Amino acid sequence: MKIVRMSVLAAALAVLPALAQDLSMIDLALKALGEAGVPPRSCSTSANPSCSYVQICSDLSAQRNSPYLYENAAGERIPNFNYQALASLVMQCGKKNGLYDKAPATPISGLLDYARWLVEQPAELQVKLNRIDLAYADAAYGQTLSARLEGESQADYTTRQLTEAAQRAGIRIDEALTDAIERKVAYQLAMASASLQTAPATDWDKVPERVREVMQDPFLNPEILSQENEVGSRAREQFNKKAGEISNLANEVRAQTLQVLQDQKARYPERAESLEGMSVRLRTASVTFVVDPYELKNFCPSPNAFYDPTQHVLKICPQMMGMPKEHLRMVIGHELGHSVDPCGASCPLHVVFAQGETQYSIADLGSAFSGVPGIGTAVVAPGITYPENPFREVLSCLATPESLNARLADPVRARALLEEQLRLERAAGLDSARTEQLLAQLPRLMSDYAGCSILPGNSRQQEAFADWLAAEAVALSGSATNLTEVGGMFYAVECAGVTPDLASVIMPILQQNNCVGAGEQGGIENLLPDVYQAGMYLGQLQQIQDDSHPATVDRINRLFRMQPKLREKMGCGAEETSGSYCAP
Amino acid sequence: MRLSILSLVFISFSAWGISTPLFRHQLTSRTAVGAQKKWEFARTPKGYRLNGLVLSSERVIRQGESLKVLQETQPTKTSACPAGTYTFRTNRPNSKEVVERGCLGTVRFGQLRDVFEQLARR
Repeated sequence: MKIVRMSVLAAALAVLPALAQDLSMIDLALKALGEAGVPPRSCSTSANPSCSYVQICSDLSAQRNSPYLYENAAGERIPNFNYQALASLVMQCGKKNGLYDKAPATPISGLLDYARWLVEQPAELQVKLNRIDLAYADAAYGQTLSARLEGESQADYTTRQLTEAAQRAGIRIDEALTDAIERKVAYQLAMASASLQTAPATDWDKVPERVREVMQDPFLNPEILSQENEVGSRAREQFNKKAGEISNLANEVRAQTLQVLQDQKARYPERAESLEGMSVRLRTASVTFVVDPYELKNFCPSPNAFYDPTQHVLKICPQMMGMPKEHLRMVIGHELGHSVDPCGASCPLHVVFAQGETQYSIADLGSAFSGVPGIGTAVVAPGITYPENPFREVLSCLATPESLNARLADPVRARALLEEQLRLERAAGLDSARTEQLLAQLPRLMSDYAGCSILPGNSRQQEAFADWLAAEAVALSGSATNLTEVGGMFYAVECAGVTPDLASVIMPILQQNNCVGAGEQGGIENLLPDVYQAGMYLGQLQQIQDDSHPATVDRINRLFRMQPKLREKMGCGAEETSGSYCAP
Repeated sequence: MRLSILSLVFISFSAWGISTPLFRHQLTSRTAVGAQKKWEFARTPKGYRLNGLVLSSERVIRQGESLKVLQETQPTKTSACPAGTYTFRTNRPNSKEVVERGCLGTVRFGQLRDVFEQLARR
């Protein structure tokens, strides 16, 4: 019974900021926890560069309890995403318990009274109320709540819902429970009214230093950019400054990728025309930073940078912007590379212009705006088929097992899919004209667009070529670097061992604050027979191997570590290698 | 004795199972640069959970209508996803896992993410 009473008390505390605020122990524990990480240190610097993926992961894992895994002499850092996730949990738990709030302008009455009353009640009543609550929430989730009657007040409606929930939970309503429901309704109305008020502002002085550092950094927590206060304004200033620096860097990288094309033209003068088409694509691709809240939410749930061929634009999320310059150079080179990768280059690039505005796209904008007065359209770079790609030797090399094993689209799989569809359509007496037409076009499609990951087989040629071009561009830059900085985020995402040990310290504290349920050790899937376990694991492997990106360890070891000039720059010249370089 | 305890546990568990809707909705995004993020909303025998944290029933009640978005799974879209992909999984007892996949940046991903964020909001 004591346990039941304690858990109900904890539940009451969790929903009542005022009571939780009295518990200064919670605040102290969270503060200690937030400051437990050791300061970041520089590892694998140019003075002692590591050229082994495994060694770099091992070096970085020494910083697993810090917000950053790596910091160079210029103060550039590779963030520790796992630490940040923990910091967010602490912040969320602290906010939930009202620990980091500025005092509300008007205190909310009624909430405290109900909690004080509830913890004094017999355990049996508390358990019943908890079950009624769950039954009410289950009906809300299942969309099976009965409708509000005409003229029914909110209080009456909530009372009826709680009564119906009690019936569903098989709980008989006696006098004590009637009284409890009445109190609960008053409490719920107060809660609803409180939720209509603006959420209390954060008192940043109360937030543990390390957690504050993460939550106020626009490159770690971009949501801070939309806050209309001093913290938000400081974040926007930081963001704009960095955006200016990265724009300049993007122009530098663009010039280096153009140089790679120029060098190829010198090697193969007969390919000048197609290389010129690629140069146009690289020159006209624009670079933008995601800052609009809608785009932030939809494109940047975590660090991201991508090339959107429908707008011919490279978009960079804030979480990427704080990375070391040499990592950004690689990422920009990679994304610009997508504008000329074997799929991008195989589609014509269109332009629409009107009143000084220009929009590029691989979509046929000419057809969409045909005949519209005042709007001009043109094809600025024709498509280059896969067999005619001016980097065809590189593409073939990237497909070899010695390099990235970057597969092409799979014509056998595509044919099998269409033939089966045709059989089914014919058997069902359906119109099969479209399938027949596709089947007839298949040999051309699978040959001309063999580098497109959208086709069956999920070609890895696009990603492999974008990496290759990035490595060539980074090699051309005059700046010093090392493999840790070039790989940057890949290590933070992929290395085993960078997850903070702090999790084992933090979780019990979150549990004590009723932010994490006690004794929850995963779901029933862990208890299923071997075949299920193996099936789930194989399913995950299949998903990973179906990805259009080559494996990270291969990208680092077999590509970035193999470019001869880059190897020298990174101090990896004499190191053993595990792949072969794809020379242009 | 042991058998009767086991039977009792089994009976109570079955009764609980019949009356309690257990489920788990899991949204995982994977950006173009390979970074993943996971959200999880679950109903366990002990109550509601969001990203592993306890979620009060009140919060679920308040979000009632918007939770429809989680229950109306949409067909997987197989278009190219330049910004990355999401996978939305729903598990319920005695039924096959339902998996929906799509692109980051779509209205559908925004809807799904909104639900998880609204639940997390105070």
